[in-house]
Amino acid sequence: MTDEHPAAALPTGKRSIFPVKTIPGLSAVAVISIAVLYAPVFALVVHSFHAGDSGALWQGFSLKWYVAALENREVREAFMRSLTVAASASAIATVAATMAAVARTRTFPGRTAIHLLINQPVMMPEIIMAAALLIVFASIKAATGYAGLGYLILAHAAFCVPVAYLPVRARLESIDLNLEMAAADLYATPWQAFRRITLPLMAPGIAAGAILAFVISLDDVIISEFVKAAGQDTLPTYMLGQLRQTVTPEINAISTALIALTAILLCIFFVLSPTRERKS
Amino acid sequence: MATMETSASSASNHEALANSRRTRNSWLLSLPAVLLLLIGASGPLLVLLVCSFLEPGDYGGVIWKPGIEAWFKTIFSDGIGGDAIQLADAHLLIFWRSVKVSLLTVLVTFALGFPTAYFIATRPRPQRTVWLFLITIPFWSSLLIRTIAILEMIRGEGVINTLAIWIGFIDQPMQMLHTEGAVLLGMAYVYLPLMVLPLHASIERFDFRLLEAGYDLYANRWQVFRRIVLPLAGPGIVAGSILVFVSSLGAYVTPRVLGGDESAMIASLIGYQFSQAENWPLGAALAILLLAAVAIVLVIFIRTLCAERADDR
Amino acid sequence: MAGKQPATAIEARGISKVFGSGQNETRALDDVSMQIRPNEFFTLLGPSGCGKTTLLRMVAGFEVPNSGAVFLGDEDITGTPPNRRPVNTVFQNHALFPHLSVARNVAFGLEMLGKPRKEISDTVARMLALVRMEQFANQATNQISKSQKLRVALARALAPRPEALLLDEPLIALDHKLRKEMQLELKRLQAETGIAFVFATQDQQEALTMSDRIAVMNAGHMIQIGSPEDIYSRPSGRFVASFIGESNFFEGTVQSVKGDVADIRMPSGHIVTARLGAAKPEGSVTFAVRPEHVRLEQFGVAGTMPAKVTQAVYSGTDTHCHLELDGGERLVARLQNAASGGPAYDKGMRAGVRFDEGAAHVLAD
Repeated sequence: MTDEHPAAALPTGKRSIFPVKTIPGLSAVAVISIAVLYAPVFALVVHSFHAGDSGALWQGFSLKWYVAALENREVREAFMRSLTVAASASAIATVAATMAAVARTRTFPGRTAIHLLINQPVMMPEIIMAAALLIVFASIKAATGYAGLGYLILAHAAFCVPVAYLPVRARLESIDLNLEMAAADLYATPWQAFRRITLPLMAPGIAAGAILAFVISLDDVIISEFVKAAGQDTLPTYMLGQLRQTVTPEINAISTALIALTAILLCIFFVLSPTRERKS
Repeated sequence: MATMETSASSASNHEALANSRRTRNSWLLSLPAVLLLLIGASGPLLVLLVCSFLEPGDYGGVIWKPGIEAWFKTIFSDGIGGDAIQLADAHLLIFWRSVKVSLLTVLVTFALGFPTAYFIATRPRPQRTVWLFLITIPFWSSLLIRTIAILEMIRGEGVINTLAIWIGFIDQPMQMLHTEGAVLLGMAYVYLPLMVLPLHASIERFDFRLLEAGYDLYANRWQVFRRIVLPLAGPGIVAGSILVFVSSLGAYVTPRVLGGDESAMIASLIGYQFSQAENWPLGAALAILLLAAVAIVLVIFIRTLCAERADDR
Repeated sequence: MAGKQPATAIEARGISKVFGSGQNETRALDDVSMQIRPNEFFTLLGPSGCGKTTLLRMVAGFEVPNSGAVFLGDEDITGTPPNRRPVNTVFQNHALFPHLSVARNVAFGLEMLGKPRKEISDTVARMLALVRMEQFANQATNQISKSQKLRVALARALAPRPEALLLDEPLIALDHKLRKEMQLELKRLQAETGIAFVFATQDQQEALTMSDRIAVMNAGHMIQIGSPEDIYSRPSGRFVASFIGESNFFEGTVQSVKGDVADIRMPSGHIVTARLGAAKPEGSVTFAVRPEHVRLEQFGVAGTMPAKVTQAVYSGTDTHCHLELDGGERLVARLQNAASGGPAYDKGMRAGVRFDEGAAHVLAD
């Protein structure tokens, strides 16, 4: 059952006589790269607790920028808006993606077309989608007069479908198709087999998909920036707007809060995701 | 004999019925996703294409009058006099810069990403998961915030300048922000995980006994790396490079935050047409141009991948 | 239940199935028929890819034949979906529901049939007792061993009391010893429940020891159906004779026919008396002799064929003597080893070869 590599199974801890896998210098570069990946974010987090104004020279610990962010009505509103959009969009996208994933376990004509359609947003730069949606929604807005959050939610739901689809599909693929057959063999109707066997087994994948879609929606800048109406800032577009002016550590405080939220959600996502080991 | 015939025909009927029901159900199940994407992704692309062949409105929007002026303007600009036609230097410069910065980003991320991916892939199993997790977290987290983190490092009063002055390297803060170098740094930083993950996926599948075979046949470490490791990682290298290149080419946030007007890239140019310049058809034409460039790169990528697969068999 | 029991539990009539199309077309089943009696242990035996799994899936309802029909008793169930067929399957990998406990797995079919709760719990307890898994009722299915999983799969499939139980190579993942144990267990379960078992396997030994009847399949064709004894000692053709046990094959021409036996002259000139069975009694024929029915005597004994030992392979209980008859035919004799000493024959020795009476059997094809 282990797909452990024969070579990897060697006790790498104990020095073998000739370290076959080692390539000199690579490990050092690797460790530095990973450190560099985290250092700026770490600095940003530290800076968010900074008592000083703008300079990086340490002047003491303080939570004042968090207080400032919390007291800022624009920030609060943008945050609530982000949550609303992310929650609605990820819910819609996850349901749609789950249904499509279930359909794809069966072979049927048009399967590949649907697969391509679903993955289309992944394959193109966001700016293109943003521009396209701006044009479409502008005309709908002109025709109907509706200017609510619906546009943002719809746009986010669309690009969240492939994101939610990924873990749902992976989970579904790890489920033995024989199980549904066994259920049918034991007198379950197709719906009962789905409801009692497939759905419970899929649940972690669906939850993982929803979380990932939520995170991606929460972090989106470009599409939100183009689709939003005036006064419809989400947290990321608000931050982007603020960056034009002098950067205060308030942005760092907001960033840190968002990082914390994202990190927690991603940890849950990883716990729920199917492990790569089971490929049989 | 009669029963045999009826049962034979009923058997094929059953099969046809089961097939058509399956097809119908599958389509019904896919319908919400299909609709969502048609409205929210593929449909708008068509509208974008149509829009690029219309004339711009005065304050954004379009006038329903067909024209190819937008496409013309992607490459040419009216001369000052209005009659002389010349190449749109600004646009060409931005195209060139986008390609250049994207290629450099690929190079930098590969130089850092390959050792990282190799390092992770050669760790024992439980450790490997942790290292991989460390790469995956930034991969899924906010590009804007990671760009802001770089901004914090390199701005005038940022970490690097403050540190350098404090140590005494320099007296005055260095101007790092709003340069092409800043954009390159930022892009390499945000897209590094995008390079590492596919590389790791291909290196993880290595049969490391091939390296042993290489050493057994008198290759030295460099030769093993050059002749065995790199070729085996081929698909991962191609995948990672394409991902980073395509993302960089369409990057909007990072150049906007870290770059200045002198280091604008194609996505900023598109954005500009939709905001300040209020020339939607031109913006649409530029977006289609970008899409075409991305599509060409992706097609090349898929071709390469298919060729690799065919070789495996 | 009506007192009258139909003569067949399950019948397949002229089933053909083609997978794929164009160049990828494979004919999985070609005009296959079989009749399975109530309360019998029926085995589908054949190499992998012979179509036995496809045939089982058709009986279970997971595949629809291109032509032909499946009957349950007198009822045509060809198009009935699997959830409406009183036939249950033990899957090759057991397909236990990973999110349900052992007991909930066994209860599943009964729940789907809408049985009252009391009846379900009683039946589950009885079934778990039947397969000796009572103490594992509340275990998760990933905490039990392979053979225990098989027991659970059996209990689950038997719980709704199906008309027939289909078993798709369920022992394939077990090691030799457990396999022997589970063979006896399956035999016992079949006897105790009185349900027809349709058992697919590639293992001829398994088929011979367990079955009431065996159907030998190859490349989508039904080759021979009969009792283990029929199949072993009266194989219809070369495939059956070589797939089940080992055989020496000889060519020859029929010299004379006396009732059920014929004298056959081999190219080397030796004449052998062979049973005819269903074979046509004329012209050139092939006949088979099992290695254990070949006897070796001293060289030159009357009534034996002179031969030379080309190789002697010791294998514990037996020695396999590879022989070459004077005149060219090659054959293998399986000689039981004596209590003391090594093999009685060695490479290069001369010997006289004799076939046991009735050992030579003319093949029909």
